[in-house]
Amino acid sequence: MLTQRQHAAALDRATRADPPAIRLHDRSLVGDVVFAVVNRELGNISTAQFLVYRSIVLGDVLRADAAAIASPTLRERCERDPAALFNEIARCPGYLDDPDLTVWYLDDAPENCKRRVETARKIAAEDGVPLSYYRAVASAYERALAAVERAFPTGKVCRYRFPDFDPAVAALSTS
Amino acid sequence: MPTPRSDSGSPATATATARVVENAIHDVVAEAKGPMTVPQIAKATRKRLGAFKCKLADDQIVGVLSRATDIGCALAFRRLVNGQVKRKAEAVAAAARFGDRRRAVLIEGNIGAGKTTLCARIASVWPDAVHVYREIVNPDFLELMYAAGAENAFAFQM
Repeated sequence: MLTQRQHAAALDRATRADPPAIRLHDRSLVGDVVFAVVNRELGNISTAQFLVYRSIVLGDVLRADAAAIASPTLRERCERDPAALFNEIARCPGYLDDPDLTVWYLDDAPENCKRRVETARKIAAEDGVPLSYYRAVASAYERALAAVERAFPTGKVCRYRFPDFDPAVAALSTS
Repeated sequence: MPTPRSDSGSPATATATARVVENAIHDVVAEAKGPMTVPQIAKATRKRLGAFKCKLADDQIVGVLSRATDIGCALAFRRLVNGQVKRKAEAVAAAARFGDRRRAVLIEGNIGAGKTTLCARIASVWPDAVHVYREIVNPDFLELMYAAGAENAFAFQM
């Protein structure tokens, strides 16, 4: 949810002066955009709503300049390929270009994620979420990560699998 | 692990000798599979140094680890401290030095991929230095979203 993302962005700015050694973002703006794209593609969000979302993400959260937000072909582009927003996020100055920032993707089959949510997490609202939704989220994540990898070919994304997180913990000690 | 290395690897001077020993200690703790006691570190370091004989006092090892500025040694020192339940002040000091460098990790993945589990694991290893920014989802919006996505997805995103 964007309101929480804005809150996190504000917190982030506030802690820049006296930052903790490691900041972990348990889902970030990247993931937020993944869900917006999925719901646009499923038809749950209209083109106009997606344009509003995009302008808030780029303008209010990432503080992109006006020229980057406005485009004469914006509407057609959003209708044709909402996932283009991944490229815009990945290339927005002042966010993923931080050299001390990495993206860790926890890569697991949608079937496993669904089973885990239903057996371990037990949030009633999530019980009826169809497997097709998990698959759509996984597909959108792959496109988001591809956009990040295109923007940062030297390596920004690491992949780990549940429950083998030891390499992820170890990565903090070697990166 | 970015540890300071001696230029030649040869202990030509007292400083160079100290550096070789320090590097060996760093390597030993970085490769440790779990908590190590100071005598265990001393033994493993002597073995690593092989033919190069040296004295290794407990205080020397603790001193080297508590001066570590990279997270690898700092984490290892945390394991060491957890293993001994001593030297807490040094561990806190190491965490403070380690905080000189800011790192951010965006943990991403599908619903139920294990993001929160991984964050909790890292925070448990290094509680003094980690801050977790958690996405807070209003359960009312979540319920509305999954009950009628077409009507509520935009409100949920916002």
